[in-house]
Amino acid sequence: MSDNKYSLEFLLEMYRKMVLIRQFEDRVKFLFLEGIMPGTIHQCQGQEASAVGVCMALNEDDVITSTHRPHGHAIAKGVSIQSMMDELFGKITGCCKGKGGSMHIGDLDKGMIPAVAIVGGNIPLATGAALAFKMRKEKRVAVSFMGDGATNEGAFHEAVNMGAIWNLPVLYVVENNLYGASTPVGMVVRTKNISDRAAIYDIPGVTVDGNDPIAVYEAAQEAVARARRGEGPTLLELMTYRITGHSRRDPALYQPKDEKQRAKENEPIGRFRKYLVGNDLTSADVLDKIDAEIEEEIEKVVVQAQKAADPKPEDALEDMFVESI
Amino acid sequence: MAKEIKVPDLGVNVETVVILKWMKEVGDEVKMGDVLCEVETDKAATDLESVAKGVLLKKLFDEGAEVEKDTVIAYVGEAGEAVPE
Repeated sequence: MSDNKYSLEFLLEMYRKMVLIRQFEDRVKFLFLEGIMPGTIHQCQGQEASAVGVCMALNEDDVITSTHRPHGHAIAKGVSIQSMMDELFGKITGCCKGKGGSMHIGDLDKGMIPAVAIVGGNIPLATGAALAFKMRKEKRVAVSFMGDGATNEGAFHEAVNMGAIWNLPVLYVVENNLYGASTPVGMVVRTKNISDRAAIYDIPGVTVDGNDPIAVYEAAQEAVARARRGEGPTLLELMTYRITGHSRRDPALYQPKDEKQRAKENEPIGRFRKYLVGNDLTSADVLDKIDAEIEEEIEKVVVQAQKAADPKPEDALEDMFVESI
Repeated sequence: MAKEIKVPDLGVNVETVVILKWMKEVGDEVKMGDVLCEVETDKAATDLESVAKGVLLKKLFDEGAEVEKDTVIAYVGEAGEAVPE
């Protein structure tokens, strides 16, 4: 991380958002292990810096699309954690009225199109949103978050090509956590970097340390500015690591122990704490206090979510058709 | 109150697990997410993480025991706290 040029307020907001994501994910994990939370979940512990760095470079009316691993993106874009927790419990007060669950988290009012669990499925959606912005002459930007595995899908290549030929205001953000589920990325991608693939569409491709929220923020800011100027998309590859299983029941035995150990030492929150405290930008006490406040906030959210009302059977027939747009 | 640690749902068709190795001793401090023991399903060995913090108060099974899903295998709580017999 370079010399600091940001206000303490900005840096602490970055820290707070990353911790909020981590604690939300950890709390959900324990609810699941206890058998209290139904379904399965795909979690993003270790990948917080990419979601936060990118979303902090966006305006409120910019939109994001996400994947089967959407909790971090949603929190970073400002979706309320109460509406997310309610959704995970299948409650009527959830952000999708309990009908979507973990893999369809979203809130259009906050600029998050509900997540698409089909790998690569959200990439054309973000491209379409960007096309709409361009046609309406709005200075808004769309972001598609995806994993490394998605870049081998046809939808990726079709959408990136379309974004490129029409200079659409869109960011293709690849969170490269080195594994597509259990498959090492090197086994299925020939190029050294995924960002190298940008060359065939003649758009900028950048690989950034995805565990450094400031580096991510700066790269995203540049790509967003370019998109807003009408100069087209950027392929942003953020190098990161998932320090949890692919899904809740995955012990991730394919991740070698020494690699996992190194990744834990390089995880973004611990690193950012060291940066903030080591450079005398703040004290460990201040950060601990933020951690404690968030823990309390999440505890309240869990209690409230468990008390919330379930949808009624007849609610299943609601929201089937759009009657007017 | 001491919290029950149960064998979680570890996947489709996993009905029982074998406790391979306890990683904590009674009296040890336990944080949320600490590995309490290693268990083996019919597919793989995996870590069983604590869903409570405090002290490991009691282990209900020895290493090598085969245990059904949802069975209480340990209690975690405050030091000196009573646990059900």
